[in-house]
Amino acid sequence: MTAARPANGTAAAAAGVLADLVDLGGAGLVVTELAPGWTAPAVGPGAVRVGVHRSRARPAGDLERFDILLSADAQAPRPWVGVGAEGVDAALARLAAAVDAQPAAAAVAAQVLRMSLTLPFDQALVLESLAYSMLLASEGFAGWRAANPARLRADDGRPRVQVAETESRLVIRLDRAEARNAFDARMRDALVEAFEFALAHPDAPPVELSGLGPVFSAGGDLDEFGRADDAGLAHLIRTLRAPARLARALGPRLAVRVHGAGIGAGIEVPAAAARVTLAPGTVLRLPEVAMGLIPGAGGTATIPRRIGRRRAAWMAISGAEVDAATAVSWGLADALGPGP
Amino acid sequence: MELKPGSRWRSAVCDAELVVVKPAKIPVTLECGGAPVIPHAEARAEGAAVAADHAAGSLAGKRYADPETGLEVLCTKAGAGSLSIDGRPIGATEAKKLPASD
Repeated sequence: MTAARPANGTAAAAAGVLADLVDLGGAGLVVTELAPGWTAPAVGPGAVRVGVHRSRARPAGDLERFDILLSADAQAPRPWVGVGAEGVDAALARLAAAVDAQPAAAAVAAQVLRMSLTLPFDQALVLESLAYSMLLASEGFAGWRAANPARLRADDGRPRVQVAETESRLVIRLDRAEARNAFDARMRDALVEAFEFALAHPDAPPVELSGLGPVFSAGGDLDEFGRADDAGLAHLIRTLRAPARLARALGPRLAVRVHGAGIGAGIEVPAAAARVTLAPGTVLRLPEVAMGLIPGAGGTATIPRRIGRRRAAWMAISGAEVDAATAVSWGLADALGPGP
Repeated sequence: MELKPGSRWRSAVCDAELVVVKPAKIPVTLECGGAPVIPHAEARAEGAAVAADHAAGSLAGKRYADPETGLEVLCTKAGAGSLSIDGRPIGATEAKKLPASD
């Protein structure tokens, strides 16, 4: 979606509206220190609500109202994100900067994650796509795209995905190593075709998905972002050709081996699988909010189903990297394992 | 041969395996590698070879459809032989491409 950049006067007016929204509790980051006797502030649905636990026993009370819960206890269990005593202020600063840079995307990420687990999986995918399509038409995304122009890359036309059968299983490999297996429309369609084949296979064999090259996937192909010029049609395409939906439909048959990096779609799709293994040293990250978007490859449906909505919101809104050990302890992946 | 939907076949001359997705509207013979396919449950005879003019290969996961007779099969195991109907080669159907949705 290529929206015209607003004239300076318009940008200034928008900044004024945003400041008003923050004052009114309709946007921005709202932090509640969960010290004894804490009360939750009354804020609108557009505020990202963070609860902070700094010392002594972890607070009880109605924590449902918070989108993200930070704890000074590095070992704090779900739903807390344990950042360590010295990490709390840095985590808050990181969230404040993220929300300040992309207030609409951060709010929408929080809102979608509040709803996701209340819906059946397939409906949660549709919800995500509705929100994503809206953000494609937002100024936050247009600003990111203008600052990060797309390159035109030659396409060698090679298949994006390899499908091979061994004696015991079907092996699907992302095959775009030269672009760190960036997810473009061709890869999306090829992966959907491979998953549909797996679903239609009369033997229903186990299926293994991995990526060729240095990393499993660096995520959506940034050179395609902004290419869709009809947000309505883009929504219909995204919900029809949804690898995460098919990955989920494969149920216990699907195992994904992630190595190197799983960025954006590179963890959103694996998280739909019954089993995910990470090669040691693998890093996972959701970069979309910083681009004025939210995860759009199913991550708001798949990731909270693995780690809960508060840890998912931390990943989505902060954009922070999650290392392999943390990912396994959270349940974002099931185990460490060898690379492909 | 009765190419019923869901029925499974194997090439008589290579590793290819097939499952019928849509039947043909008229009786046809499906071949792979130039020889009629055999039921999946049967073992292929030793020493059979792919005919040189039917050696373009079959790819696992691809659908092969014949607009003339309506027959559509899914290749479930790749092989060196390519598919034909009554001697007439049939190609893989390209999945419809859709544009970027970002």
